[in-house]
Amino acid sequence: MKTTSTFLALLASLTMGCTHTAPAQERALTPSNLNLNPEKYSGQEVIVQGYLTLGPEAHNIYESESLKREFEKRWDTDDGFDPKDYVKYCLTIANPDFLYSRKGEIAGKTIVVKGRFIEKYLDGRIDLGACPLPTAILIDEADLRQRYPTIFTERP
Amino acid sequence: MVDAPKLNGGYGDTQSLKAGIPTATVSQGQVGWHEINNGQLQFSYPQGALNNSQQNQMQRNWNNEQKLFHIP
Repeated sequence: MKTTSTFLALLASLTMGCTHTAPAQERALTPSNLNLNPEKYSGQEVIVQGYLTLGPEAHNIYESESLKREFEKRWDTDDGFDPKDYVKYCLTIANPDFLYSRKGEIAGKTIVVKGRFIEKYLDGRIDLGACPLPTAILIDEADLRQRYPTIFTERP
Repeated sequence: MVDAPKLNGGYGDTQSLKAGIPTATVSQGQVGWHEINNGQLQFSYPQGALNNSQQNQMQRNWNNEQKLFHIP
């Protein structure tokens, strides 16, 4: 009996240890996780992983590079293609200005960002570079600089 | 003159039309004009501003962008 109790205590302590090393709030979400449940995440700090697009009229995190390529290919070749099927994969970046100074180093990469999710970013606003859905993420700039120090190293 | 809807999830230069506001696209000193009439996208541009290849790409862009304005 004593052996069983010791084993259970050890198991409980290991389980608790695992919980502490991988906190739930650090789990990276995808743009579609957020876009399919905008009320749930509205105003919350979230961590998102996705493919970064920066263009003259585009600043977003896309679900994945492969889905982005699929979207582009179907756009140009598939007459039955409906872009509405893909709108959930695109998340607008509400504060892209600081990224453009490092566009060459960071655009076209899959990155992880922390930031505040905005459910109704397009309410009363026109952003020519926004994704189709009204949601966005306000990236925590300091956090991103910490995650990618080589990209954001000060230039001489 | 040709917009890039594949970069911003599908609207290209027609994003403002969701709010009913037309958009001017300026390219090499020429102006194109995006607007919407009775739910139909329209684009006006100076004659000769687009070559055949650009015209084909614009046509494909309009076809796909129009679908984003359809109410399910």
